[in-house]
Amino acid sequence: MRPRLSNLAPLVIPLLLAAAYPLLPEYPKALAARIMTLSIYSYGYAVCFHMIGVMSLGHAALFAAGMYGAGLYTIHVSPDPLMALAAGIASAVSLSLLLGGLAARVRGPYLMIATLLASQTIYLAALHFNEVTGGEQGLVLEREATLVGVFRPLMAEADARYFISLLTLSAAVAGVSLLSASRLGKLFLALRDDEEKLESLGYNTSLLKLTAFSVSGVLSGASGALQALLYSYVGAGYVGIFNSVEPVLWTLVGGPYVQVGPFLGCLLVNVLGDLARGLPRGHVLVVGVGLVAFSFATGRLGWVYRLLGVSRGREE
Amino acid sequence: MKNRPLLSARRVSKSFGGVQALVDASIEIMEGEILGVIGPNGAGKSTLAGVIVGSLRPDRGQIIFRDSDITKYSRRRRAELGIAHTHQIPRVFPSLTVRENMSLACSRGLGGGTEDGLHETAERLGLGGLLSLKASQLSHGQMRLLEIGMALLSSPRLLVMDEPTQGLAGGEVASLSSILRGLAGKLAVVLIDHRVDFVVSLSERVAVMNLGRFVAVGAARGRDVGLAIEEAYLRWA
Repeated sequence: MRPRLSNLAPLVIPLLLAAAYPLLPEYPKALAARIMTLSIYSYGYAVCFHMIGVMSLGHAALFAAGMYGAGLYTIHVSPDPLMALAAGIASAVSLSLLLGGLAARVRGPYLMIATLLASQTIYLAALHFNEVTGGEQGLVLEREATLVGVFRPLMAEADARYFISLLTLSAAVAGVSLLSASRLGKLFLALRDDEEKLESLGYNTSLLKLTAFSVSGVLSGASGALQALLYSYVGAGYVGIFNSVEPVLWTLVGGPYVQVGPFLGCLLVNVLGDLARGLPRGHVLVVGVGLVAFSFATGRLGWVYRLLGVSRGREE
Repeated sequence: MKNRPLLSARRVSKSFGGVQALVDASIEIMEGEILGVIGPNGAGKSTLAGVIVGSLRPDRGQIIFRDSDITKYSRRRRAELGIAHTHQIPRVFPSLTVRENMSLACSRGLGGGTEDGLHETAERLGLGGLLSLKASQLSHGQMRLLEIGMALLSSPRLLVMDEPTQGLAGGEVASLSSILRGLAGKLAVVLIDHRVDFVVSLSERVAVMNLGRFVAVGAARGRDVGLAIEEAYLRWA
């Protein structure tokens, strides 16, 4: 159960994205950067959803904790963006322990409701403490305090966004791929398969859930912090229910392959959504049909994933 | 060694709604012995297994393990003390390979399992050639053998086996018998099964259950046990 070099095959995704960079016009480049940032959130969600089989409706809280953690750090503590990134991730991990604690106590639909309530509490708090969070309007960060600001002497803002999100996505893909091949990853899958059996072997399943939520918190928080540090904006809109449901959609559409599915799902949903924006009425139907068709296809693409050496996160 | 009780169930009762599954049931399991438990459907055998391993909490009574009261201990704590369990319907991790299933069991319980032990156990159970298969691809009988292998690899002091021959073919039952014979004296086994001949041939003592009570406990081939088995099964025939 030791990870091998071949487990890093899914890194082909960031390699393709790096290769595509010179070919992309400005708008698709900007869209790709945003999708890569959101994909990291998608991977974070997949750790809970595909690996331990827990469906949370409160992950927007983790994304928001990363975003506010990083944003408030740059405003009130220091304009160092790397420290702000660390502060954002630390905030999300702290909150993930709370959600993980909930997951250790309640299951199924009760957990979905509990996590939803937790994220809604944070949403309301973000609106209520207007003077700290900026409320609905949000907060705009100084460019110099963002990651884009650091790279500005070297490259244009759009390029900086692309490469920073690509670098972070690469780390997320490598991390999740190695995790799923490791002993801890196998324990996560065993937890999803049969929690009681795992407990009867002497494993502390509550601790495993907390660990999975912490990993999920690192990824979701990193994504939220990047949102703040690449786009210079922090706002309560990211804590809403929609931002909790989106990663469910991404991971479902992306299929059960935890190493590549979260990216593919996020890519497809966002690209389809972007294309359909120009359409008049009925665009939701177009997006819906596209998503159903893709979800249907992912069940028949096993041989492609096997060629890539990717194992399934969820058994049929 | 065998004169010392490893686990005692003392006046244990458990009901589900209005149904009394165990009524003041008391039994002692000695170190290193194989204790057979026989009884018709609904006799309370699986409930007894549940209260011993901690998946069920008794309404009354005590479970004593190596002189400690473990009645309120969770399943996990009991596993850490060396109590392992194989289920009536085999429970393994279908997403993992046979090797990964066994490997997860190796380091738990009392933690005696090693990579060599894993291979040896897999060979003994006829799973040697299947180590890289996903558990979901195994037959019912192979899954049962895998679960037994996992229990053995956790180096238990007490192994509670609930209907281990269910769904096994003749050859698989024979190899299971030989494995259990090899365990005699090394760990205590509570062997719950419907196959009277299988249980009697392997056990030193047999406990006969009926309607939530022990109606006879004694030497496997003793007269009292034989009569109790006859009565329990004939009454239900």
